[in-house]
Amino acid sequence: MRILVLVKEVPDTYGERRLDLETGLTERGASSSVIDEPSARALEAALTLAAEHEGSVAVLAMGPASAEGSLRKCIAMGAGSATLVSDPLFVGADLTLTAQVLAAALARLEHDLVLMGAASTDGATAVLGAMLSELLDLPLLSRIDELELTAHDVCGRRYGDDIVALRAHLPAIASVTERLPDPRMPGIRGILAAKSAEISVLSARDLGLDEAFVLADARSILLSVSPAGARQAGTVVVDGATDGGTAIADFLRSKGLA
Amino acid sequence: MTSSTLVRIRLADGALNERDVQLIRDARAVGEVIALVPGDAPPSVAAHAARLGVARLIAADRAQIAAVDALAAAMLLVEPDAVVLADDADGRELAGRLAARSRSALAVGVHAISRDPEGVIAHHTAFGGTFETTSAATTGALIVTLFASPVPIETVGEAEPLPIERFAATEVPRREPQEIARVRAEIADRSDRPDLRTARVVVAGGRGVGSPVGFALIEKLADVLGGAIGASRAAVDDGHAPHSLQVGQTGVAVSPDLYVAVGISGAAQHLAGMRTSGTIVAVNSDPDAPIFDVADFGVVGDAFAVLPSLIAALADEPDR
Repeated sequence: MRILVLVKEVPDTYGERRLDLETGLTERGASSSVIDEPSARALEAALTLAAEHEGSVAVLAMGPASAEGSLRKCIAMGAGSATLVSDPLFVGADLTLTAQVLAAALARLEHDLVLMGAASTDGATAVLGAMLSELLDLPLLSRIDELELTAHDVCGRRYGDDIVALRAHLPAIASVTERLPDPRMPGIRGILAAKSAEISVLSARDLGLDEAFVLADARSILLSVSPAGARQAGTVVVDGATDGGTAIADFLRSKGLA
Repeated sequence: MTSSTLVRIRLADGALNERDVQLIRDARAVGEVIALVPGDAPPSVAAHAARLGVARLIAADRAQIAAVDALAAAMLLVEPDAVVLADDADGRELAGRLAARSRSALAVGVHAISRDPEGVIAHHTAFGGTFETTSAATTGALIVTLFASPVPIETVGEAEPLPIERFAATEVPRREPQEIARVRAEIADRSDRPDLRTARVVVAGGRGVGSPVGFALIEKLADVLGGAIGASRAAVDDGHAPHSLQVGQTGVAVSPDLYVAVGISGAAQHLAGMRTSGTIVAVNSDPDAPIFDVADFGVVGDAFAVLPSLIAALADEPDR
């Protein structure tokens, strides 16, 4: 059983996140980069399932060379191997290009099950799974809250107004939500293993992609970036001498909101 | 060639789906609207579509066909400047598949679309509303999932029902998961309360009202204001509200006209889900809570005292 986890490195949501106003790219220095929480949960699920099925866990990420650090953290958690797709040609890749590049990488890596977070905290577009499913013709179990694996099938449950149970034959892709268990902390053995682990790096050429490919298809490009109008603090009243509830009601009426 | 926007409309109970209908208003501002409806759409939708200002109504020539196959064929037929779908889980998945299949540029979670001489422009916010960006396709149609504001759409008055133009669409075999069970969830929001994502008013409770009594107050205020209920991650993690009500970075993003945050500190993760709300009102016992930095009106006090007073004050209609 070979499980491959797609991992995304993102700016820390607890830190300040900024876009460079010139290039529209994420300012890497603004805060530290971390493994996206949904990705970490996907990795945790993979490690648990691999243990149950005597399988292996590999991680794959696309990003700048510095993303190696996050991949080492994945190995420290227990992943057996890590691959980073990195190339200047892919800087600022839009969704479609990202999907095409990851699909090309996945085509080169063996996998029975691909796991990923359902939505990232920095883009929250939640479309990558569907795009990969389409490009690779793999069945997709999306937004899964509970995951189960047998030798040949992956099953998942999604909670909403209805609770839906889905099943697909392997190979398949599953995107998982934050309802999955918390990621484990790396132990000392994992941290030591991560230090000396070899991270495979794939360039555009390794994937058989070149500049012509990047430019050939339609791409989404940023036209403008600007800081949004900051919200200003408004009136604050202390409940006591002034009745707070009445004050809010008056405020709402003055705005035509009640 | 006239600029046109292809809008995907689903059906609900044999009529045009409300959420998708909102997209028509935004698309109308950008060009001619061509609406794609399911192959089994009844003729009654034709009159409704015409009243909404749709210029052409199209459908695949088969009643049952995968949505992505119908949309892909429609794109080739119509050659729109943009393809617009509702920004929900289904819309996003479909948009992703379509972009991958047609090798098109994709813009997800867009809050507005506009156009310039070169094509359609998508407007986004990034990092929880702290940045605004615009994007466009280098070439071809831009596929967009649009979060349409819940303002009711105006009809264009009586209009001739549109013919439903049928086009041939081929089914592309794809590997799909099987649905092996579907059970109605036991915990369901009351159906008469608005849906959180599209409500014009949201009353959200945090740890400060983390108790059944506290959330009963939240519900009561929501009902008086005709709004939906939301919850902070802390309240959900503590088990006081279901995850479906969670507003924030890892929950739902909302942008109502009015957001009332009760007992919510205003951590960045929460703000990311609601800071673009029209008006923010906050009630918190901590005067230093960051929520007060973004609230248009705030009350420092005990929610269990302030809310009942607010509910009573709102229920008191001034004499007309």
